[in-house]
Amino acid sequence: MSFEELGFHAQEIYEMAVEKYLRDEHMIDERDGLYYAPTDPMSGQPMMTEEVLRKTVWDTEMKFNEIHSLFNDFLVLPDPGAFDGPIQSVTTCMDALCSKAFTDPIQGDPHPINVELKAMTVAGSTIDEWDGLAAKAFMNNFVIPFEGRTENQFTVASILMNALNANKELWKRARANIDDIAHKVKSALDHYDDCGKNEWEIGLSVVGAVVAIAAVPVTGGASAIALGAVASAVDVASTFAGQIEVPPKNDYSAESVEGVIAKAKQGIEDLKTEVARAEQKIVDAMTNSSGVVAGHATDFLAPRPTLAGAPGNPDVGQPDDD
Amino acid sequence: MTSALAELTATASTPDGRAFATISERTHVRMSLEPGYYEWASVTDLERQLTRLARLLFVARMRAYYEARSRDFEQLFTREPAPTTPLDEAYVRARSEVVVEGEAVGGAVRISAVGMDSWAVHLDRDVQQRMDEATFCDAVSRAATQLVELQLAAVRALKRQVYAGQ
Repeated sequence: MSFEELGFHAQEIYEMAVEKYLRDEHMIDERDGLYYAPTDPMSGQPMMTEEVLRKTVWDTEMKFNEIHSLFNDFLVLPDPGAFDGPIQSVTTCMDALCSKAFTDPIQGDPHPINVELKAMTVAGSTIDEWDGLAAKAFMNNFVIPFEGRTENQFTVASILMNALNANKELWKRARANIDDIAHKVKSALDHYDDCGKNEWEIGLSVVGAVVAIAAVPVTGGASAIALGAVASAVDVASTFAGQIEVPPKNDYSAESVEGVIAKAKQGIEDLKTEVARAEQKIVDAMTNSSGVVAGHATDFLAPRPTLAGAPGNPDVGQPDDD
Repeated sequence: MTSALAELTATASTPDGRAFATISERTHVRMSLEPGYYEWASVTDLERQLTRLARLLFVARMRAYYEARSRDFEQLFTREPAPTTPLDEAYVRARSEVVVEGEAVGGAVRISAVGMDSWAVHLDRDVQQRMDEATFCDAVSRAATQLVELQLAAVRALKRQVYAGQ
């Protein structure tokens, strides 16, 4: 089975359910797509009229008709591969922000220095001969905090990249989990009528896909600040390994067609709940981070220079004017 | 995709190698005897051998069943779990009392089972005079196949009765 065949699996499950229910409850057999009424073993005559047979089949088909829509919410899920482009773009951005060699605070990966950006941190000595109020303001407001700000921007980019990565892992696992549920529902319909107890388990790996990281510290001004983040369980640094949720193995058992279909619904609801919970972790982290960044904007962005758009400003010094 | 259960096959033979049986497609049983054994064995010997074979085939079938179940569910099953609910207990208790019998050639060959672990084979005393080896093996195979079909039907009915749609 594969996720792409989910709609087809829903049809197979529906057909199995109808066929087995008719056999179990009404002794109506299906052969080559046609239904046959039970026959009297003595006379060989059908034990129900054609009309009763048709109505019984119709009623049973209606009884299980909802199986067709059982998987509807999962038929179109985000393609995990679609996250690769944005992840690569943000990673490129992270590399560009390396005014010195930074380490991804979530994955623990080193990012090499961006030599061109590094030049900004030594701009003070390059323009050594410039002085005056503007020169001092430029030094204090832009040159000295530059490295801290780029590091904070790097951290924000890391949080964004890791959120994309967590999203990718979430949908990868959600696809695998719904496919697993469909596969096991089919198996349960194959096995419920054997002698033994028909129980099975479904591991909802989507539970461990997204790791919530409460606080990623950033270089603050007056006070220490931290950003909420998430990571993919696959790529998170070992520091956070303890925060990976262990996926539960949910047990299901059913001894009839109706029982198996009821457990299929339960399994799908369980998965929906866990997908929603994983998505909420991402939403919470992004909401927290954007709120902190907005509330401490100057720790992440340089203020607009007074010089900007102000030609003739008397505070602006000129080189060698003293 | 075909399930492992649909492809289930199990074989068994008596420890002395005189009787063999295979079950496939869930209910289809084929039995054969060591060449020549049928002619010189007594009816009592045949009954004893076939009863033993039935028990061994059931064990082999259950082993194959748990392997098939493990493949179908991608989960390891090695035995039936202990009952965990009152319904499970009621089902296991009632199943142990299910009596089914398969027969062929007008009852000349009869195989009966009580529950899942008590088997008996009854043959008419003159069975060897009435049938050659091939006919006899075919009759035993048909009786065994009928027994398994009836047993599965009885189990389905019992599950419907005990679990009532659960």
